[in-house]
Amino acid sequence: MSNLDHVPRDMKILVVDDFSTMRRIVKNVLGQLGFSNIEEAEDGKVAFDKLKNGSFKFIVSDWNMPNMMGIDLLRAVRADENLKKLPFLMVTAESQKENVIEAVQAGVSNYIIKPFTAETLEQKLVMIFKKT
Amino acid sequence: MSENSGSDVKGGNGLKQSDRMVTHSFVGALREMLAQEKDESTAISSSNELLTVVANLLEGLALDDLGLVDSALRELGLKSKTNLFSEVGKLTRRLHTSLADFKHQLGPRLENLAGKGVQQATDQLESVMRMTDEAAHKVMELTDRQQEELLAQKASAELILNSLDPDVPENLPILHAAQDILRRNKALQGYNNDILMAQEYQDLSGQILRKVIHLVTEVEESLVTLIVMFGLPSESLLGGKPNISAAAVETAPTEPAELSGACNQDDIDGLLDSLGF
Repeated sequence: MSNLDHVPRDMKILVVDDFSTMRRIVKNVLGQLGFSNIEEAEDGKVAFDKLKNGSFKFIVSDWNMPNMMGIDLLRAVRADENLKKLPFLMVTAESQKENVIEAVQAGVSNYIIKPFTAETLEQKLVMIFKKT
Repeated sequence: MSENSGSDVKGGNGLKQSDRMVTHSFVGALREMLAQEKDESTAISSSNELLTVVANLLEGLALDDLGLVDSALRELGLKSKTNLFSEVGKLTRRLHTSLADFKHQLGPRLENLAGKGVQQATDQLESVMRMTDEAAHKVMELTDRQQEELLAQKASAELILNSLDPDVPENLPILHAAQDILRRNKALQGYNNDILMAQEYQDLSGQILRKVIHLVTEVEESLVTLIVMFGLPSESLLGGKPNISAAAVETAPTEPAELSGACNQDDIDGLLDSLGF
């Protein structure tokens, strides 16, 4: 946990998944790590609109969603002048190597496959917010 | 049967005299046989006709009679085409009859399936998704409340630990008990968390259900196409599609990582590592 101490606890996070169960789980785990300033979106399009209007510092997103998939949201974020530097963590059931490669090429910050553990999420957060 | 016997002089078409004699005898025997056949069925009579033409052809070749050869060949061509046409005709008639039977027997069943049957199936699948969603949320709600209790419990135990002087021997049993409570409290928080994380089955199973609903809807559409092709009367077969949006259904994944035996997080981490993460 000390590896995340330098990350501001009020960092605004957007959790994107079309299943409310999954959003809640991610939100809870983030809460346990000390992050409770969390908003949710149920598809990529809603997420992108929120991102453009809010001051988010971190995105956790699923891959398969209606209206706009996670991979397309990632591309849209990386293409936007104001959003392109945002850390983007993919949390998805898509576990084929091709998916990981595609996400990496699109600029993902890290990748978790479902089902996942709280430890994994913490590890990835530490990697993403590594003190430079 | 009046050719020169015994000579091997070649005729105009290159057949040796002896060969011509053989052919001629053969043709003769064939014609005799055909003359004796009774017309018992159209099959036999048509093959008889064919043999007659073949006999003419052979004779024409043997006698160097180009006219006979020519007319025999033309008849053969016609005959084979006629046979072909008649076979195609028979097949078409059989196919038509089969399709009519199919339409008569299965038509009503297809209609039922495409109409109410599939709709029922998708409704049931959706209700399963709803039920598991509600159940998962209920459990998570309870784990939230448990977590609150556990934190309060932890605070109480810590209060005891911090309030009693460990140098006083009488306090030691109480301090040990408080430490024990803290240890178990930590274990309980762990289990509570595990229960929370276990709810992700709902997401994974929901994605499978969506795939099945999509499949079922596709089957329904194919059935409807079939029914329309057969010209069966159909009353609003496609009324009331499932509530899942087409995009959501199309983008549902095949299977979750666990079931399909695809990569686990360690494999993924290895790949990420090799990509410089």
